[in-house]
Amino acid sequence: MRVFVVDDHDLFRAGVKAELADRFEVVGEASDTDAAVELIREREPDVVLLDVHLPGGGGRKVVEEVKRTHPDVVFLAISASDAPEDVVSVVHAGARGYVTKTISTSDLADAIERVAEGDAVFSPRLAGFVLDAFSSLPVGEVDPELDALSTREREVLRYIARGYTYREIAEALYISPKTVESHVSSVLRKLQLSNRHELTRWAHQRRLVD
Amino acid sequence: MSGTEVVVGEVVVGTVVGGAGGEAVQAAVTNATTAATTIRGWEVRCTGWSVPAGSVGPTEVPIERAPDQPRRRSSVFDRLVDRDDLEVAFRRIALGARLVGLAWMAVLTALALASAGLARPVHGWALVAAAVAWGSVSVIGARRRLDFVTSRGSVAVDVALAGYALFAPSLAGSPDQLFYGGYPLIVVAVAAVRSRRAVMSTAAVLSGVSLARLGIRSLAGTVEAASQVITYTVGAFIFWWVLEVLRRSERERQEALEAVAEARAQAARAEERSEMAAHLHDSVLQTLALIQRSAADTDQVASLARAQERELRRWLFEGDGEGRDGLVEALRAVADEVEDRYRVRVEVVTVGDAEASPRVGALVAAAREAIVNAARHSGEREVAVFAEVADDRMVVYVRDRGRGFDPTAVPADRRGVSDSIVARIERVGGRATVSSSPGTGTEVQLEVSR
Repeated sequence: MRVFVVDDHDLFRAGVKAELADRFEVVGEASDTDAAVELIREREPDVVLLDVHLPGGGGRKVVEEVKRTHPDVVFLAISASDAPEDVVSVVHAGARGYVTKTISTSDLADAIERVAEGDAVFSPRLAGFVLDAFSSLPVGEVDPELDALSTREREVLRYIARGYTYREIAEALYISPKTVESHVSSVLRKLQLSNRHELTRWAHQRRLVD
Repeated sequence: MSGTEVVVGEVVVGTVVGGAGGEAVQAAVTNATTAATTIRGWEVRCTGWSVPAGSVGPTEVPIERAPDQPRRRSSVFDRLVDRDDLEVAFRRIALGARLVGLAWMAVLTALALASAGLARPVHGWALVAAAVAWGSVSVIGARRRLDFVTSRGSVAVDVALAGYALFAPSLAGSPDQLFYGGYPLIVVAVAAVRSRRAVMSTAAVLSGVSLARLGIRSLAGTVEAASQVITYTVGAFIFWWVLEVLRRSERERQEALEAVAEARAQAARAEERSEMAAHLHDSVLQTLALIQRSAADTDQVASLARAQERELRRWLFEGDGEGRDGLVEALRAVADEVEDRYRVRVEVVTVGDAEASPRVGALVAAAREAIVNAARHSGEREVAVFAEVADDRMVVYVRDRGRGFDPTAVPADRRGVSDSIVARIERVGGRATVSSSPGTGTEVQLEVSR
């Protein structure tokens, strides 16, 4: 599988490349927004490991620009900061998942494989953000298709926030891992399609407290 | 950035990058001083200063700010002349002037009516009635919207009424009596507040009316008409002139205020930068030094890095942490403490928050026991904590993927801790569940109502 790494920290890029070299072909790297967009279009990787914070417009801009010409490239967001507005904005732009930089190498490799297969990857923290964001939206005037989570989706997100893997969630809920994945993908879709300003506003309000 | 920082009083007004000489600094200081002196209350004086050409390093410019004048207590008069907004003040003045002019005219007309020398008194009565009516409408309109005072319609009514007042003596059959007093001139002044075009056309119309009424009758009439034309025209020019000077000086005052606000914002940014540099020096750089010295001890390095990450994250995203002593903050503090003591990683995820209360206290204390248990007995290095606050209840989950145990065959020492968790929660009417089995890890679920 072909992986591209975007991060403005040289040390981090070098470390990730070395760690992933066993399982993936790292086809390129970039340290700012413009270079990333150009090289990703040229190399057409399967998965881009994308830092949320980048000079020149941030991870969000990379996703938006690349998606316009190459909609099939899959993005996995990674960040050290966890500021909800940043995380939510990159996911909203089209990233298939979000992990923190403290993730272990094998978990990172698993996450890359899962997003490549079309699954959504949520860290416990992202699950917490999403629960918080959707629960604090005003109850009236919501489009249930896009703006509200189903009971089952909430349940799954709660398990992720509690630190459960998809397999563990499947066992706890007596459903198949595939079903868990489809619930998470559905949450991701809602997160990406919901154009509600409340989401952004929520993220913004949270910025100073998390 | 290295260079010469220019400080005026307490305000940093700019940084002149190294290499630029005294002239650039001089220019920056001159600009700032000019801006500062233009502003009322910011009277400053420079007490002697020079910068040698090519100097680098902070340049302190000894400018003293004059002490604020003691404020008088605000009286009705003060409120009338308060110039928060010049245009608002102008319109208030215009309304006052119009009312004075109308009253003046009404009194003169009433006196003429009382002396009973009018052949057709109906015009006198009509003028008094119109003055009273227009005065009332003006006051009511201004209360709704102050702009009404100088609206196009209002100026038109003023001109029409003044024109009628000029003709009224003739119409009433007593051309030598004057009813209008200062009203027409006041009408010119009010129009001047509206615009230059309004004041010019008002003066032109009133001049025309005066000429039509007086100009053709006699030589004396012509002289009087000419003097009225001059009064209106010159008056129009002077009113417009004074207003324009005031408006321009107000514009400049606003610009100077903005310049000073910008200088202050720059100073604040500079201060923020230096505060950040100081903080990084005291925290991150010290930690990095420690890490270099203890590079062989991986546990120690991980723990130092984790503690530093926590500290930096808090500093970046939470300010100084004031006023946050609710559930989330307390859980984080507990997690930090356990991380430091047991060298494990405690990941805290929260949804919602609750303010400090006895129930929150019990919940946090029980969660702490559970986290400590996981750290001490699970054999794993990671503990996941998830807290969710709903409208009616609070739930905390503490989970590890460690060795687990059989809850039905707990050794006595473990039982004690379990009991202390359960007892704490039940004392506040909540519920604690411990689920664990050998090999799959342990999860403690704590739930209390809010």
